[in-house]
This record gives sequence, C-alpha cells and structure tokens, in this order.
Amino acid sequence: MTSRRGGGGCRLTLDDLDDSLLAGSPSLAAHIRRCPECRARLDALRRLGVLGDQLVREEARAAGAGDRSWLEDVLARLSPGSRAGRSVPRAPVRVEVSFLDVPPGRVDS
Amino acid sequence: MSRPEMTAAQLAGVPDALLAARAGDGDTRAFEALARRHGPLMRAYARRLTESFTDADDVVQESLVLIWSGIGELREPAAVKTWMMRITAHCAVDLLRRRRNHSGLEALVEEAGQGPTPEAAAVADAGIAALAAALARLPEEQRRCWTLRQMGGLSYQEIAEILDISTESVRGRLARARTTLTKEMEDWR
Repeated sequence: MTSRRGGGGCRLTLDDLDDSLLAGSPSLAAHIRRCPECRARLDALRRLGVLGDQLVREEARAAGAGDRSWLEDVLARLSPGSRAGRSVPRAPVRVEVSFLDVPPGRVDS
Repeated sequence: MSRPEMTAAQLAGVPDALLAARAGDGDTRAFEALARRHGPLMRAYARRLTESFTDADDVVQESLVLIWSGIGELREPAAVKTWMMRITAHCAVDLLRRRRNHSGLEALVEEAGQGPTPEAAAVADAGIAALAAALARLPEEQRRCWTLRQMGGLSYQEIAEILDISTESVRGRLARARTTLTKEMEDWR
C-alpha cells in the first residue's frame, strides 16, 4: 500500500481523491460529500495544491526577475537565420509534440 | 498575403492562441513574445526538475528550439503554454537521463539531496518555504513526479511516458509524496 488510508474505516486513499479520478466518478464525489475523513483529506490536498501553486508562482517570478539577459541569450542562440524560417535543426532529444485534449486540473469540489 | 509585424508592446497583450498561431506561420516576434511570457515558468520548472541553474537554462534553450520547430504543427494553439511546459519536461528528463548515463544514478541522487534550491531559500513566505523544504526532503523520484504533476499539470500517463515508468509507479510515487507532504504541511492552514 502506498497511500495513507483514513483511520476511521474509510478505504479511500489520497490518490483516490485525485482530481482526475474525482472528475470521472460521480459516485466517488457523492461519497466524499458524505465522508468526513475524505473531506478532511481532500481539504489537506487542496491546501497542498494552493501552497504548491504559490510556490510555482514564486519560483517563476524569481526565475524571471533581475537578470533578463538569460532569455535574450537563449533567444540569440536560436540564430536569426534559423528563426527566419522553419529550418531549425532538431535537438538530439526525443520529444513528443502531440497534444492530449484534457490537461489535468486541480482537486475541485 | 503577409501580415504586418506587431510591436513588442502590442504583442504583450495578445492572447496565447493568437501568438501561437502567428508563430506557427513563422512570425518570429510572436514566438519571442511567447518565450518571454512563459520562459520564466519554463526556467523555474527546469530548475525544479534538473535541480541545477545551469542545466535549466540549457533545457530552456533546447525546449525553445523544439517549440519553434514544432509550433506550426500545434493543433490547439490556445493550449500552447501547456505544450511548452510539456516539451520543457521532456527536455529536462532527457538531460537527466543523458547525465545519468554518464555519471551514474548515485551521483545524481546525491546531488539532488543537497537541500533546498536557491529559490526555496529566497522565498519570503513561510508556508511556501516550508513546502519547498518538505519537497527537498522527499526522495528524488517522488519529488520529480510531484513537480511534473503540480508544476507541469501532466497526467499520470504523461508522467509515466516521460519518466519511462508504469502509470502504477507514478500513482505510487505521487501517493507517497502527497501523504508525506500533507502530513508535513498540516500546520500551514
């Protein structure tokens, strides 16, 4: 078992409460509305999500603050000649450029 | 017929979808506007994933090359930010994989366990700092899954593909990370 279960008998785990599962399961959402353990754990997940969002915003702000030359350097290295057309050589990495239709969101009520 | 190029000030207020569409048509200024708008988040994301400022900037550069070369094929211009972040994640993990092949997993884990990132040390808010510290204490594989999920908004399936592990492994790592983090953050209400 990889996730903490509630101590009062509820068998749902934290990952059961994840938004993607919640969004796809009305019966699970109905259970959570009735289960105080699940609501408490969902609240804890939400708090974690809010703090996580704040951390992301703070780190993005720090990453873009002060030294703007880093991005100018990066853009400059994408040489003007290569950026003028569509002839940019691919970097030697494997990247899927496909797009999935449903980006995951946050835990929601 | 070619469209007139917009000024930097005009581009700053243009929605992502329009910038992506114009960049897809070869408009370099639109592409640069996207890079300026989302570059800091890409950089922060790459820093979290690589745990290295230098590597992060290499990742951003590599990502922007790929974004520029692929943006003409993007099917959902409105979701260009998510797509840019996904490419950043791929490039970061590929860099780590190449690095691991050269230096060994142990060295990578040791490097990752050296404590909170400089950003974490700089953040003023105590709750955010506490989360950053809690993240730094997580095992590397859990921290990476959490970052891909929280920062990149990736699905379990996408994380599994990027890290070349099963979705069950992703589920397990995220569950352990969430259990630890929610417990450690109980006091921050």
